[in-house]
Amino acid sequence: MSVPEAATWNQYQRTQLPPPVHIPADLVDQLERLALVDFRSKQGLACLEEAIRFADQLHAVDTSGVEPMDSVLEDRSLNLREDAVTEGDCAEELLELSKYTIEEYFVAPPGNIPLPTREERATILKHSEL
Amino acid sequence: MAASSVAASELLQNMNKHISILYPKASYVIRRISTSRQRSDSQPQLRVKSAPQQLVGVVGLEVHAQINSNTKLFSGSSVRFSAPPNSLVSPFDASLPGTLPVLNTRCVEAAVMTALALNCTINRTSLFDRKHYFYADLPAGYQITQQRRPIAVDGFLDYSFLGGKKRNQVIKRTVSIKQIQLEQDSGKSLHDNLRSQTLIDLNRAGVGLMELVMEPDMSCGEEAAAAVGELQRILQTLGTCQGNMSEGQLRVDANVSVHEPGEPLGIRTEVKNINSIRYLAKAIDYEIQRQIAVLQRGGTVQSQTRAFDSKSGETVPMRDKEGLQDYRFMPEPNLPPLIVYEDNASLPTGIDACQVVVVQAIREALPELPAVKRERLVQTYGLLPEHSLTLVNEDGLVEYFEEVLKATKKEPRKVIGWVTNELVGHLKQQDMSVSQSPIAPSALAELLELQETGHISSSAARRVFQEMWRSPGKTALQIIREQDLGLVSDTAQLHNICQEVLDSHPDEVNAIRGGNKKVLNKLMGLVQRETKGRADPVLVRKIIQEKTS
Repeated sequence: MSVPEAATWNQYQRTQLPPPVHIPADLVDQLERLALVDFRSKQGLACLEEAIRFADQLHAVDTSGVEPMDSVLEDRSLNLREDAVTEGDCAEELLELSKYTIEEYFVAPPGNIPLPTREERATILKHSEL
Repeated sequence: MAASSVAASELLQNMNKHISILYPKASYVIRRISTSRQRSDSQPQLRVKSAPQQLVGVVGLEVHAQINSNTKLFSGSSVRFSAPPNSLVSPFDASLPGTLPVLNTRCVEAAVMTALALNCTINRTSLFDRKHYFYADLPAGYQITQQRRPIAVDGFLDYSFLGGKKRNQVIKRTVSIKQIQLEQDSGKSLHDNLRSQTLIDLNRAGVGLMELVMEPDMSCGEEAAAAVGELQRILQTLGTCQGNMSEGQLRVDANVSVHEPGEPLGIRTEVKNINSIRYLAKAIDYEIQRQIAVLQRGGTVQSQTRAFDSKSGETVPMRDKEGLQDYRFMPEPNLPPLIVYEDNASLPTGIDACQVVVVQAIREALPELPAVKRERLVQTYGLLPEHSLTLVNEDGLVEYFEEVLKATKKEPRKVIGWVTNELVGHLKQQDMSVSQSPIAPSALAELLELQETGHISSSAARRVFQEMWRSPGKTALQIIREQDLGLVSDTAQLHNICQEVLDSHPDEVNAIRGGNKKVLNKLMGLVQRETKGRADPVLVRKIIQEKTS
């Protein structure tokens, strides 16, 4: 594989990109629920929109006739394993990783605790010291 | 009218109250069902939306079959039904950082075998994806599945069941299979509501599953039950899944909706928590009726997930399944595409034999499927299709039948009735399996021999069968001797009894002489009563005919 002498990538002007995406508040809320990531403030949201803008550069590349690649391993062969028991039987070690266990079971809350709504979270944060 | 709308609004209030108690975070309440009466009083007639006519059910099934393998799909930990909690868990199953999935050859072979048995097209290349959702029994936060390109698509499953008025007509149906994909199972959650916590056991996490998606080609619980039964038999014959629904090896979720034939499909609900084939039929039929009732009241069916409650026989809405889930599917970055090869000729040179799955080899190794077996039994023994259906559908019945045939000279066609009616009838009454039958094949064969050689009549034979069932260990001969059921062979005695009956029924004798042959049966019945069913019917008929000619 040869390494080119000079840089071969292009710097795209903002004007060549598609129009910027504005993320509505409801979508932010849904993303926060799905990924359990907190965008917290307007700054966090601005950061997200910048990141999307950066990724928009991909749209400027002409990909017509090119098969999408979804894994860098696409030309490797998938390693198959024989159906023989080689691991397991380490309950003690695994349970040590958890602070709170009951009789060899991990312990979890009774179900998914729903994320409080945006308004509730704002109230909680206002009262906490973050 | 006024009374009914008061009742309706009370009902709505109650339902809304229950909803807010059970689902405090629910974002909907049932709105008033508006009728013209409430809108204005100027219309005297109640203009209810025209009641939907002839609503029929539409049923699609999602089946998860646990692959019968020694180890899990992506790790080398053991697969077993019961074991101490978390003892069959490897670091990968617990999703500890630094672990990677390695695909199990046996699981791929099992999926290909199942796909071939279900007439699917095998995708030469298939891909793995991540399906993300949060739940305590899914330690990684995602499940590795095959959403974009599964290992097999476009198959079909032929199934049949006994229908018609007398339930002895074989009705054949087909259900299309959209796809078969490999995916991981999640761990088990044990809910402890008292202490408000859930105990997690990851023994099952990572076990290989085949998800079979069936198209909504079925219309009722009976069809779904027959389809799943046939699928169970096929999987068990192949050995790819043990198919035990109560142990969770075969899990079925039903998607149920109703519509008028020809109209677009209605809103569907998903029914879960079905632990047996019988409950599957019940749950589906209940849900269809429930949706029809909702529509006939003028309401709309809510798209939701419901659980089947076996105690009440009803489906109830499930909590913890809010709205439409977004699973954020993405390709599994740690796994290259899975390639299966059609035959040895298409293998790339120098490849290790243990590293490939060859479809042709699997196709050649397929065992005899239930449908083929049924046809073979019909051909070999001259049976009717409904008999061979029952034979193959009952576990162990074919072997029992063939054992009986070995020990008796009777024709298979004459033996089959005893096996599919008498034996199966008694087994079903007491919910027993063939292996639990108190009458062994040799004992039944002995009884049939005695009947065939004329020692006892058919009706006496049936009585002996029942006695043998009640007192296992007693042979047919013993019972015949004890209860004196042997055929009366003394022709003189038979003649006398017949004469007595004829003498005491002169009207009937005249009727026979006049041409009414049916009355002969009545006289035969009387003779049988006298002899306690021990008279040879053929002989009795002959004697009576002689005497009345």
